[in-house]
Amino acid sequence: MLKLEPGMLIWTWVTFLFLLLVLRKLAWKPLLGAVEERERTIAESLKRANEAREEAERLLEEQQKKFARTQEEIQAMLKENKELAQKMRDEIIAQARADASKLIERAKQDIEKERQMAMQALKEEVANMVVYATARLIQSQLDEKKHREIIDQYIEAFGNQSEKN
Amino acid sequence: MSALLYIEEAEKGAEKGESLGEYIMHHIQDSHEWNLFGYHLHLPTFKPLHVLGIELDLSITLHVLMMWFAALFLILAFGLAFRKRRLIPTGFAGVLEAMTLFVRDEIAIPNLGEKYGKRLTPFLATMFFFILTSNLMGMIPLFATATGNISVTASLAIVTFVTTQLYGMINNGVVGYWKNLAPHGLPAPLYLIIIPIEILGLFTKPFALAMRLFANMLAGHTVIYALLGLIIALGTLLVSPFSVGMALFISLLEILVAFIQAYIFTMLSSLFIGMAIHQEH
Repeated sequence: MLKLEPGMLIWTWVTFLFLLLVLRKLAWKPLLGAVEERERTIAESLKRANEAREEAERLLEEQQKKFARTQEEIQAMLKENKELAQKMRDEIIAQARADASKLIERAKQDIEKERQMAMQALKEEVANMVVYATARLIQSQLDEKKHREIIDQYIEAFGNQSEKN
Repeated sequence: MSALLYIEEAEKGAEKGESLGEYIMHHIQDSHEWNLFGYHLHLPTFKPLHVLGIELDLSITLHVLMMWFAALFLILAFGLAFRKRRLIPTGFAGVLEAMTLFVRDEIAIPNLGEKYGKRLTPFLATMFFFILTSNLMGMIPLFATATGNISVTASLAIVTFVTTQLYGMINNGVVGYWKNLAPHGLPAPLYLIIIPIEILGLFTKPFALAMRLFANMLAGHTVIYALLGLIIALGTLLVSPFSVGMALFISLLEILVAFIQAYIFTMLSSLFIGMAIHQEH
């Protein structure tokens, strides 16, 4: 039972070698080939997916940076506009104030002029009335011209006094 | 069914005065006939050839026939499964592929490295599937276990041995391989012991390989036959539930052993080849 039979050895070798050769062509080459192809496909797909992910991340980062930059620009612009608006507002207000004070000044001057003119007219009227009244009252020989000078002096003095008061 | 046939035959044998032990041995050993349901098919026998003083009997024995069946089964199975090339196999092809990948990724590459592992995967996978099929064939009624024959296992072990030396010499050079067999830098007297041990080790490895597979396959069948033989030995049918139950249990164990032994044989083969390729000394 434990004897080695040379015939059996040879038959085993023949069978094994035959099987090895047939299976190599029939099974191992297609099988291992397919497996290696599959492994390669998987590895490539993974690599491609990784690359795509990195690309996407890079793009996202770029976009975010761009967005941040745009945001900053918008902020800067808004600030500038605000300052400009502030300046314009101040200018307009100052202008308006200046215009108003000028108007007031002119109005004051006008009023002053009107007042003086009115005062002048009043003085003349009073003088006339006084001359008339005095001439009628005293019927004197004084000529009108001389008379008027005297009265004018009086009124002048009176006017100055009233203005002072 | 085979058990029934077996019992019937054993009873006949007992009538002829054959002891049960002899009968079991006869049943396990190689023979020149194939017992098909009691019909004995006589297999072709040839006159022994005498080559270089060796008696060469190239008769087609039962175990040769069984090896051929195993080879035929494998060729048909792989041929049908991989008729069409697909990127992802389905069904039976998937099972075969998973087992082949197991051989490649768990046996060949860890022991032999990426380059030699891939190159030797076809060899190791053929070995694995051939041994596994032969082992499992013993579990099918009418079929015998070729791996329960010491000549078959020795033959396979010699294939491993030759491959080991060949790849050792291919990778390290003929001179380098033999020089590196023993570790360097030891005191000279030690070499007197180490060199014979290393040379002996070359042969004990395949010897252990052959014996382990042969003994494992033989033992399982012997135990099954012995358990069934109890029915005849004790001459009562009352023992049959125990006999059949135990035989069934051992049969299931045998299926496990068939896988384990095919794995161990392939694993150790690749380990030995790997040791020859990557000489660590």
